[in-house]
Amino acid sequence: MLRCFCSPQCSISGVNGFRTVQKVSRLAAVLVVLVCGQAALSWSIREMRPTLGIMPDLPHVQAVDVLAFGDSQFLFRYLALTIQNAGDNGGRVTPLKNYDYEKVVAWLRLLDRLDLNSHWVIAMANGYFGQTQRIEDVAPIVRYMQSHVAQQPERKWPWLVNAVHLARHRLKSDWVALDPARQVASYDYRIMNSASLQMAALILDDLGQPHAALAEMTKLQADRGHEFSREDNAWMSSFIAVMEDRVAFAVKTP
Amino acid sequence: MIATLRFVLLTALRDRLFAGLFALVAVGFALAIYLGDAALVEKGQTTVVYAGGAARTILVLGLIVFQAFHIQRLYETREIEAVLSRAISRERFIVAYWAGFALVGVLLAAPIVALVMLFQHSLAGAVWWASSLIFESFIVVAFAVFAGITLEKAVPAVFATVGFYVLGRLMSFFMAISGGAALDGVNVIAVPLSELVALLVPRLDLFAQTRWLVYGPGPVDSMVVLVAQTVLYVTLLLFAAMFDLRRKRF
Repeated sequence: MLRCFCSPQCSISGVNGFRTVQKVSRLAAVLVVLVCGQAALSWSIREMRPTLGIMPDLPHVQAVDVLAFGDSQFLFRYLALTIQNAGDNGGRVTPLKNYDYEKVVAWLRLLDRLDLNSHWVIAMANGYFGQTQRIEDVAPIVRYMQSHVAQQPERKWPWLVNAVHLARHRLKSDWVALDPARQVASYDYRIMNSASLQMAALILDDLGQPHAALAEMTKLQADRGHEFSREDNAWMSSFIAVMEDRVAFAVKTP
Repeated sequence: MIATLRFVLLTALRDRLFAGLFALVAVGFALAIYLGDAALVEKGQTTVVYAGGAARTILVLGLIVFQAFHIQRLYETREIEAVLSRAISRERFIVAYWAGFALVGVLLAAPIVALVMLFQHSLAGAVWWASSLIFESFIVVAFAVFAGITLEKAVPAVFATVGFYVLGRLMSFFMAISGGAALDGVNVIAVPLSELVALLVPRLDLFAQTRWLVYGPGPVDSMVVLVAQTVLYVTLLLFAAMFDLRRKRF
């Protein structure tokens, strides 16, 4: 007489019990075969791994409307975090030089479409994507920052100072830096400080353009000098005097 | 009426709706804090947006599932016949059930709102968000009552209500299609169709916008529109449910 000893309550005993044990054994064998089959299948397709790209592909504008699900701010925050972490997920870290900056800028513009008020996207452009090891990629970031600020200059103009910094000290191009510097000088908000407005004149001086620097600073003092402190005006006057000397020297020694 | 309200509340307690939903919301908030902190800047704003968006979805889906199974049980246990055999009209039955579910929605929304208030960046915006979240839950609850009463089974009722909710949240997309597309090719049919859908489905995309939690309500936002939409659509759905219940024989 066969009896199952798995527990005192187990009813598997006698002939029926023997049959039950046989059935269970058969089922267990089938189960083992199926598990082995699954493992074999998984082993055979182990090389079929999805390739983890760096930046995800851009969705269509209408797809973004669908994805927003009536709450574009939530989608904005979700996508901004996705782009911020793109390439640095799944246990890997990708150097910024490997990023496709055309795609990066396209993503930044898409995020602007979802929320232009946020400082997150431009901060990410300046403090993260602007720090790429491939220096030539800084130029599109500077241009992006200019276009971003141009859409909301009253709130975002200070970011142009960062754009000038990126262009001068990372890209090492005063010519590229001149554009955002002139853009800052073109805005007329009471809260702006004199230093940010004087940047264009200083860059022109560094570029060896005393004529243009003189004209820029003279115009600035004439137009907005009344908004600045006496010390600021005194400094601007001294800069103008130095530029006049340089212009005069340049005329004398052609 | 009071008895029905108590019955719905007791069922919600018995089904552990409150405990389950609050646990989910707590997990949602914890994730929101974690993910918000990963943001380069605007960490607080990101946290509140994630928390608000996640909490809204959890609340709405929780209400839909609870209602659908509650109403299915009413039919299966023939409780609905017992209730209707008493001195309560079918119209009052529908209103009482909607009020009961709506009260459950308000009770569920209260702690969510309190938590969101802790993280908000605009008090006015948070008040708008909280009010419109409750209005949105009223509309969803009304549709779930209608779908539950009409379809009698939980699974199709859940699908129908979730489908309605998704459609309502996508109304801005439909409005964009009908407003901006050229009338040629497939658009000859798609544009009028989307306009028709836009006429019949409520603009749920205008409700509970997480943008308000960060920037506050904008100049084009109107609470009057939200209130009018809620009153009108809830009434419409309740009348539809009453009409359907009148047709049924028990």
